[in-house]
Amino acid sequence: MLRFVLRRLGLTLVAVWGALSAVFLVLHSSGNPAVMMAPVGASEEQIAALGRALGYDRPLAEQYVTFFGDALRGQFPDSLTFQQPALTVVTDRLPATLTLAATALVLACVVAAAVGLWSGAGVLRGRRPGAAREWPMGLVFLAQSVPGFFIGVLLVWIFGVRLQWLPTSGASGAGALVLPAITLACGVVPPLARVFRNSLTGELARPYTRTGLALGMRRGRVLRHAAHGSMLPTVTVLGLEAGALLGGTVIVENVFSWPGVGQLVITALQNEDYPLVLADLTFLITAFVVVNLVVDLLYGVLDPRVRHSNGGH
Amino acid sequence: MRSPTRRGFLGLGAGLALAATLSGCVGTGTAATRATDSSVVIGLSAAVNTLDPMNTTSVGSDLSVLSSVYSSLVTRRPDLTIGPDAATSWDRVEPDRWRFRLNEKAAFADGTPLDADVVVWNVERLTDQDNGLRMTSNFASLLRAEKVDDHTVDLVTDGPDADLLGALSFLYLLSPDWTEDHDPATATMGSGPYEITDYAAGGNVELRARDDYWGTAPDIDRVTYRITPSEAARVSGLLSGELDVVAGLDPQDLERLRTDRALEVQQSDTTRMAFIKLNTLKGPMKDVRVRRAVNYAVDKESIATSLLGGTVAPSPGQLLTSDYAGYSDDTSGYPYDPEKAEELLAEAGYGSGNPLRVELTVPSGQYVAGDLIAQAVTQQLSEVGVRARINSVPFTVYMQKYLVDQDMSDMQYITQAWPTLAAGGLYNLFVSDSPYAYWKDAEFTDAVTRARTETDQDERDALYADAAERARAQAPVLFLFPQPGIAASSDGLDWQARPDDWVRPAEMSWKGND
Repeated sequence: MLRFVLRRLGLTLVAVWGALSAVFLVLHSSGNPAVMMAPVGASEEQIAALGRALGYDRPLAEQYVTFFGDALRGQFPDSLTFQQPALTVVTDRLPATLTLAATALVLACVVAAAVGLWSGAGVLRGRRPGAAREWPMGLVFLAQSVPGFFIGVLLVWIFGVRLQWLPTSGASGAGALVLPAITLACGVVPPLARVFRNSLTGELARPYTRTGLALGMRRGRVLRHAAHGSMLPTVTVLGLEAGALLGGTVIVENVFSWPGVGQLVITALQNEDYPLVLADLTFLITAFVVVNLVVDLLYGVLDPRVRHSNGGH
Repeated sequence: MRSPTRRGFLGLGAGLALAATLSGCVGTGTAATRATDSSVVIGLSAAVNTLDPMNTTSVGSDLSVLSSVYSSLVTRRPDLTIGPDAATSWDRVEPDRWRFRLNEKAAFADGTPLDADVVVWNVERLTDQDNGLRMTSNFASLLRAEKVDDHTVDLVTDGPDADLLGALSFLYLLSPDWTEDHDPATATMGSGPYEITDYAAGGNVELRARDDYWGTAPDIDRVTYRITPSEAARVSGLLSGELDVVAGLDPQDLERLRTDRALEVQQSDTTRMAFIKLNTLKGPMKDVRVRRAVNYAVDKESIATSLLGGTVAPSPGQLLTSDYAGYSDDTSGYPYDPEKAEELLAEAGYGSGNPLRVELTVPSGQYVAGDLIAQAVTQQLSEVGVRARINSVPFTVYMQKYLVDQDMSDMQYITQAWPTLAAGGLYNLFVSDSPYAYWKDAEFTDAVTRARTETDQDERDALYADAAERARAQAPVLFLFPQPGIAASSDGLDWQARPDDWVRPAEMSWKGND
């Protein structure tokens, strides 16, 4: 088990390093932030001096080594725009993003479970698929085919502008959380619900279901066993989608002016604030791979076969 | 029957009910309730990046917020004239020496008086190149401040500087004692009408009016700046009544905002001029006939009507907007005259057998309707046989090519402004040795250089008029129009939007609430 965990951890670090290197190289080859920082009317010498002061005149390889050396010790240069340590700026915004992402994830799980079970229970009763059992799934398909930002704008229009029930933007109070969390969840529910429903249907078609029913087991109990059996593929998708959900915060936070790290990374990119972009993405990338790591480890818990096949030899 | 199905749904239902209850409790606050407790919510398109007033030149965000917290010697009033702030009066005692008498009541929030020593220290901080402050480049001629007595201070410039007062309206004064143990980038303690009660880097900012302010108390007691980077969020915030004031809106949203009766929409020219820079140093644009030809070939009027909602009128062939000191009333723009354009192109040796091919660079998504305007221009140029290819690049790449590599393409869409509204400042971007210019014209450069140090107002205006006429004739740019300024505010709010981007709560009040 230990070797399994260590191996996964090692792969995780490689993934973070690779992704950050790509970001670093793309960022630094797109221009010199000193040009953007210098005030209008600055002379070439002033721009060059600013670039030197910030260290952007050094060879790319040297900047790369310095950046990773510092990052390994948890140090990032000061944000160019905010003139504060970049990591502090990011961690200040972290609670907002985590609140939003966690709410959306819980919401998505509840909805996906409900939709999947509703549909699965119908199969169990031996009914033909009908409108009554299938409409939630239809809604889910619809949500999947509409881009997230559009759903966001639509929700803002209906509940914020027309009905004025909920705030359209910002993060003041629990009401402000509702629309962004729903929008974010909309991106996660469809794949989650589909995989859960499909694997649940698959489990229900297996002999143990028939045996259980034949022995007089209650339908609810059979469904619970089948649901447990369909957890493995569902958790895989959940892990992938939790990562995608973190990526989705970038768009949703911008639509709803939610003051989290997703909005921050866009602002930082617009301002050419390289240290802040890197610190912010370090967090997002790390969170993404850590979520996947947790899912990998969860396999071991949910399905002992995974543990044995990796740790056995 | 205990069906998990039902439990799932019940859970979901309970969750939604809870969410609805919570949202009912928080309430979003409407313009009407804010009028009674005299607060406003202002939507900003960009975050407040720093609280150090000397280390930013962003008028619409950073400086607008900080101007409520700090005072300057003089201030630019809504009608764009210069008025008193911490200084009650001033005069020029020598060509290169201005004397300011300070308001004896002026003091910081902690009680420290704002006296001559404070001004001397601030000027030292500003002019010290080692501090690397972004505001410093607006004060190229300022040498030092000298204390005359406790409440009188002289500012000494390197030669006469007609634009000093305009620049001084940007110099917000810090308390020297306070900065010893505080970082002005992340905290504030000023002598202005408001104090900051809440600020996180990049997040919302809250202000409260100070009880002990030495000047005229503002009508608005509480101010919230909400950071709303997306245009859609700003518009829905206005329509839902969550935001009271938003400036810098896109002309595309004009109709939607106008139809809402709870909003007052104001439109004006900004002090930012849009044009297409022509690279006069190499390639086809070296030829003044070609530069004039493209000016004739573009129908500025129809572009302004169709893409900017008719909010602006074409520039009369000037690089400045009418709000600058030094704007000339005498120039006239290039009319839309495609035949004349074709004639000039033929003279320069271009025709159907030998079409003029140029590249037009535009920074994608950077300027109001910039990409669309570039497309319209390209289309109109093609009608006189000019094959313009659009090169749409990210703003960083654009700036790198323009300023560092000195490799601007034949044509480049750009908007430029000089925040202190000094003609000399904006014109300085066009003098021969400026990396921004791509134009070496001795006559223009000479007129601008002389005007900057000319103390006689009429003489100076005449020199700037010469410069404007020269620029019009030589056409280092394809003249377009000022960038439109669109602001919307709650109908009940008394506020005059400004062409120079400042949004100051001290200039606002709720109607019938005085």
